[in-house]
Amino acid sequence: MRARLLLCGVLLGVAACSWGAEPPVRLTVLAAAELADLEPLLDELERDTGVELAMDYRAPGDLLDPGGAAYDLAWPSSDRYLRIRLKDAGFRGEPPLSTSVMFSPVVVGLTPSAAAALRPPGGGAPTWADLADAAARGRFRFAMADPRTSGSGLAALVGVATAAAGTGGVLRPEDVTCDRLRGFFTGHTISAPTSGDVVDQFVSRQEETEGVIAHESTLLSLNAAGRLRQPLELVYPRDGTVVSDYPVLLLNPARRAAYDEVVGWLKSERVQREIMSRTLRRPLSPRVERDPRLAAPLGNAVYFPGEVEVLDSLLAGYAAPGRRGAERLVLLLDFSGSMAGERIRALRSAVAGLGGADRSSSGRFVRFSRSEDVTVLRFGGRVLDERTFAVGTPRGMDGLLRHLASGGFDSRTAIWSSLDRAYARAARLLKGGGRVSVVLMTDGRNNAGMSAEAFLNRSRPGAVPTFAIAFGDADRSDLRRVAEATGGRALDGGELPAALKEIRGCH
Amino acid sequence: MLRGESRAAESADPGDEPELTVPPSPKPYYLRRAFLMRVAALAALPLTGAAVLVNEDKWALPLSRVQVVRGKLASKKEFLEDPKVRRILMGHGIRLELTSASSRAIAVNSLDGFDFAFLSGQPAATMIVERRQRERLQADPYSPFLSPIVLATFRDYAETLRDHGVARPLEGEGSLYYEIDLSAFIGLMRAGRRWDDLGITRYGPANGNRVLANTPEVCGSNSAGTYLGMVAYAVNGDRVVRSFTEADVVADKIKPLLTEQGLPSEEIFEVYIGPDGRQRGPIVVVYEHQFFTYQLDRRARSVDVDRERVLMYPRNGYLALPRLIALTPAGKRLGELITDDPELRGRAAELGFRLYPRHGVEPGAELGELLERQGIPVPVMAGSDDSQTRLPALALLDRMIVRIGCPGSGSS
Repeated sequence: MRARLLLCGVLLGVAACSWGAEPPVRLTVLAAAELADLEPLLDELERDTGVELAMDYRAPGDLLDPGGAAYDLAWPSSDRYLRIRLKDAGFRGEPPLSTSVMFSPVVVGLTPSAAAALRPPGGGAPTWADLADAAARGRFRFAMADPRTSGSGLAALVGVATAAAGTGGVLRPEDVTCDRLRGFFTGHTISAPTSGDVVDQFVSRQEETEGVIAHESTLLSLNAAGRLRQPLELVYPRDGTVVSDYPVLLLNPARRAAYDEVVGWLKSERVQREIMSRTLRRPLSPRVERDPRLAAPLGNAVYFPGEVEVLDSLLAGYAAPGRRGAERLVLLLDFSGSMAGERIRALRSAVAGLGGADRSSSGRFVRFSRSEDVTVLRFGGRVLDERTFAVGTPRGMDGLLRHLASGGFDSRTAIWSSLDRAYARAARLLKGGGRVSVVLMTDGRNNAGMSAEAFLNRSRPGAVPTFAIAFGDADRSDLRRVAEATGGRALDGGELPAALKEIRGCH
Repeated sequence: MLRGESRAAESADPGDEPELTVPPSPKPYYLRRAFLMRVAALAALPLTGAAVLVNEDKWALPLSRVQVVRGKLASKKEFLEDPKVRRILMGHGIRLELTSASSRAIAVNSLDGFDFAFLSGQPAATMIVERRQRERLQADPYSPFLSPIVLATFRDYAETLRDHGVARPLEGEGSLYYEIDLSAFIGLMRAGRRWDDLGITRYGPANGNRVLANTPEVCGSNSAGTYLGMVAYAVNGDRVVRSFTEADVVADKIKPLLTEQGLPSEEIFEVYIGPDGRQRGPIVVVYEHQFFTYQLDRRARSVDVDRERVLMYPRNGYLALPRLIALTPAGKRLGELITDDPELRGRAAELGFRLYPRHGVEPGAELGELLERQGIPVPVMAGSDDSQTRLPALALLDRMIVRIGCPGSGSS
């Protein structure tokens, strides 16, 4: 200190040394709500540097588009969405100066009993696919903040979507044209704009919820606060976690000097240590020894998509009406003699895969969920029978498989009249809410009932797509034409399990 | 200016030496004063702490003799923003005021009001010199030091690549340095190979991600831009891209390789040397000097050399040759200082740079000696700047950068 005063006197002249009397510098900050836990540190910041941060806590969604609001700084959990938006808007200047000061992965906190139930037999951490599978079976009900307003929610959505795509790389537009997350989100029973609200709701509904998806720091702090009956067990999904890195952004370039002071202070080793012990976020400084609670490996890195279309379709899929409603599949099955044997066996096995027998990562994402019904219409020269199975239950699943194995084949093929019947059925199902789709499987040519042309001229509910799966001699051009007219697609029966999975993920 | 300075002095941690010159700017730990002091001590150079400084006449300059020199920086901020460098310059009566931008932005935008530009590579520098000569304006280039672009990684990844004939250790088993065949590496990326499929679990934790090198944001970063140039050279059949048509074709081929990482983190080197580095990005494109600063810091704390983190040098070698272009007499004075002043040269070596050869000394001799004193294996120091010829002209590089999805800089 003495040296400093001496220095001040010698170098700068006495007039320059009156800093004690200067008014403190005040910076306005648009900050993520969860950063309120840094409040005690901000007093220290002001004491040490003379810079006061006036924090305006908002749901981080507000940070995505600060609009015309005049803030000096922004401090979101991540600026990636902002950077993508800037790029998309053709912004050519230098993006705001951005300095990351700490980070926290988005992970899953499980109640001890859920953790025991969800751990894979071989030990180790479950994957997102395991969690999606459990959610679809009704065994993983979770709280997660809304990705449209919350950084942790968006990071979680990207993480789980990346795992569902399973490419080992960043999400591309073609990976998100299909929605493979419906099963996963059937477990999303608690939602709120911010992670703080989500945690509060979880605390009051611990009995009926198995876990929370949020930043590691949020979950560890929740455990430390003693608000839970039993502390949560943190799970770092093996197939990857998204990391938030809490950048401090300089929105008002005129405040550069004060900004430099603030980030310099935040990145100093002492403050990094303090941030870690107070907030349980991981320090950026590699020099700070980690709290043992922050030692868990993060799993594969999940790269954050850099293309605006990818995020837009993820968010649109999340918000899509009907996503949370019941899911109903109408299976329209050609029961002509040629379908017997190999083709019916393949169908049974593919359906069993969707019932949970397919243990692949993609299989677990697209499996039938607990609330799902499948209605089977078998047809020959007309619709022969119609039955509905609750495929989310073992009994319903067994019933469906037995039904598919039973005989009674017809020699005629009235594809379009039967499809017309299926749509009448679908229209009734739609009234119950949720989504309905038709899967038509045939290996023959239409030789009874109405023509494809006539079918297309009939009125039918527009929201019901038909996916036509063609085997053998089927008339593929008619099938494609009709499927596409309904918003569905034609697929080949040669790859039945893949075709069914694609249908499940893509409509 | 005065206020900023006094405030910086006030904010220093108790016990630290006061900061003489400028408010601290955001910088990684290895550029912070405490560490630099240790490095300085270790380097057996005179420790110029403030208590010493105030006794030295040259530090007690009247303020009127301090000249503000304004510069635009593309990279090597680590050097000019280094507190000790700034202190040394202050001793010469120079105070720097720095603005950052990318090389390509500097090359195409106005330099009015600046005394110098500091660019990371030759193409941008050449462009500026040529333009200013046409306009009969001053443009004196200086090349004080250089630092190769390297792929920093972990030993398990280097060994996995070695198993596939993509990398080989440069100095036998256990070497800190490998040579990487960039074309073969790109082959793995283009084939979408995953680390698990390549057998990463033979050496370390599983990783289901595809083979990829993480770079900083390619739109604004020079190391990423250079890496793009390197990848373009390899993808183009070891030929430099020479026309706009060729640039477009090559850019379309390499786009997936560079966008695969999505939005990168800004602090890739800090993350790499942290405990989560292996998970968050096991291969990062950085400058060699960053790695040496890290290892020297460990030695300064009496910690052993980190032998798990290793460097892979691209076979062809890519030396980033930073150029300072003086635009005014003040800039020229700075250029002369950083090229000739022994203190500044010593400091550059401490920061891990290879000093540009002069007086018959081979490039990087000073750095080599420093590393050797600290028991850090010395990499091959030879190297010429012919690697620059493997990079495309700036306009073509810019064309490719824009083509892979960055906003245009307005140059074409």
